Formats: sequence, structure tokens, C-alpha cells
Amino acid sequence: MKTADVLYDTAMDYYDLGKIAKAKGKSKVYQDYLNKAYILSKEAAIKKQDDKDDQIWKYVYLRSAAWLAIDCQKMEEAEKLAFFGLQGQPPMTEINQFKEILKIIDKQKVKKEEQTTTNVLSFFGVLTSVDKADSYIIINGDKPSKLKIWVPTQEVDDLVKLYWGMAIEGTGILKKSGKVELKHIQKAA
Amino acid sequence: MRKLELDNLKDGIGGLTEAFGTFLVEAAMYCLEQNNHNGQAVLQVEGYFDEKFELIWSGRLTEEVKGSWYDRKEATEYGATAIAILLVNELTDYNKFKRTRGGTDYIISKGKSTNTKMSDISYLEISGLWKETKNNTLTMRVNLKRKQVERTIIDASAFVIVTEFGNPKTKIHKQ
Repeated sequence: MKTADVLYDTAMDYYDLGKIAKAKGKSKVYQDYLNKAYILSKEAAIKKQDDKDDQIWKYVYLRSAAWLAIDCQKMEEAEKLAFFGLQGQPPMTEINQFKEILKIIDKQKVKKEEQTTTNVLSFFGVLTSVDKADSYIIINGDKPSKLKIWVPTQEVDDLVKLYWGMAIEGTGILKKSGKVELKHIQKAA
Repeated sequence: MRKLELDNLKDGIGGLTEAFGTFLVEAAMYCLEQNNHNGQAVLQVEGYFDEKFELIWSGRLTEEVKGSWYDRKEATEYGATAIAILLVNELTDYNKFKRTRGGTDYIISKGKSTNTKMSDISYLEISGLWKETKNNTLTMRVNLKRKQVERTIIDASAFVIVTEFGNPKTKIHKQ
């Protein structure tokens, strides 16, 4: 058996050992085995590319490594492996499997973007006060009832002139610190 | 009636390790014994093959081993894997099993595990049901897996093998 095959089989043994651990409630051990499986399968896939006679397993090894990369949340690695596989001449079935992997990665990307956008906060209310010292405008409304929004110091006066006492709506970005930064503001329709 | 011995997996058939084979036996025993089948059961095989097997295994699971199974879903998948491997070994010419990640669970081949032609290999997709319910039947699961396989496996044959442990039954689809 060639080195690549030994590495691959060992990687799959680790994968199954990981699944056994998971089935027995040892999630930390599972993660550890999964990482080992990924590292070995990637190594096997790289080594297998030298096998000129083989037109199946080099792609199967790449596909398995890409899936294990997804399991380990290494999305960029998974994408690279799938693209690398598609650059060769894989059998149709393996082409489909690589495309499936890329679809999953795309879905993850969209999900991540959506998670980022959920940090955008919409508001509606009346600009009733400001905190000039710390550069905040304060909106009184019903969703949320009172919102303190940070704005650049030089914009505080302009915002007061434009919107004081008016019904306004807009969006702010909720930062990790809990601070909301103004993104967009306009008179309520 | 033909016999299907779970213990054969402990010898590491088809290129699987003895350790993994032993684990598969434990998973299958867990699924069967927790479904009140003790020491033996009749396994109805339908679909691409139509057979009845006397499913046998030695010993009983201890309470300690039973208690170690945390995830019933995983146990079902591995229990189904045990049955699928034994059935492929018994009913087809395929006798080598190579684990893969993603797409399908195994690639099976005749003789060598490193065949280089698509016509020499077959893809194997395995699934399991703890117990059939009205909304989760063996046929439903087979159809689900079938669609998945039809979408991706284009230039090779494929088997979908699903096992249910409540009233032990296996459905085999070949494409």
C-alpha cells in the first residue's frame, strides 16, 4: 500500500474514532480526532496527486479532506481543496461532490453575512436630547423606547438643526461594546 | 433461513479494522437489544434483494456499555452500517470497503480497494432508523437518500441501504 493510502486510511480511522467518541458524549475528544483526521487526509490527498495511474482516488481523497475541513470549520481550506479538485479531471460523480462542497461553503458565507447584518439596529422616534460631551444623540420612540446613538462630534450640531423635535427613522450599528453608531437617519415618512 | 452473524465484523472484514468492526457490532447490538431483540432476530431484506436472514450475535451488552451510548442517532447510524456491510458482503461481489467523508459513506470494490476505473467501484450510502413511525418510514428514508444519490452519482453504480431496528428490516436500492 502506498504512503498516501496508509495516511488516508488512518485519517478515516481517526474520523470514525471521533464519531465513536461523539456517540459516547465525549465532544472534546471528537473534535481532537476530527482535527487529526483532517490533517492526515489533507496530507494523503496531496501525496495522492503524484499517482499518475489513478483517476479516482486522488479526487476522493481531496473530497474527503475538504469535507473534514468543513467539519473543522476551516472553510477557506475546504474551498481551496474543492477548487483544486475541480482543476483536474475528476469523474462526473466527484465533480458533483466538489460542487456540493462549494455550495455548502457559499451557504455558510451568506449565513455569516446575515449574522453581521443582524447587528444593524433600526430605530423610529423623536430626537429629544443630545450628550455633547460624549457625542451622542438620544432618540425617544417606541422601538426601542430610548436609544442613545453615537455620532461623530462634528455632526452633532448639524443633526440637531435638521431633526430636533421631529419624527425620524434610521439605522445604527450595534458594536460589540454595546455602543450603537449611527449609520443612517432621515425624517420619518 | 440464511444466517447473518454480527460477530463476523469483529474479524475486520473488507479492509475494516477489527477495532472498528467491534464498535459496529456494539452499535448494532445496542439498537437491537434496546428494541427488545435479545440474542437473535429475523431481518427482512427487501428492494433490490428479497431475502430473510436470521440475525445472530453472541453475548449481551452490559448495563455499563448500554449507559455509555449518549447519542441514539449515532448508534442507529453505526448499527445500520454494521448491517449494510454484512449484507453487501453476503449478497454482492463487492468485498472491500473504503470509508469516505461527504457525499456517500463508503466506496466499495471487488478485490482491490484501489481500483482505478469507475466501473470497478460502487458508492454506498447507509442510513438507519431506530424505529419506524408513521411520519418516518423506511421507504421515506430510502427515497430521501435515493434522491440525494441520483443527484450526485452519475458515472458509477450506487447502493442505498437503510435499516430499521424496531421490527428489523433493511431496504436496498441500487442505481
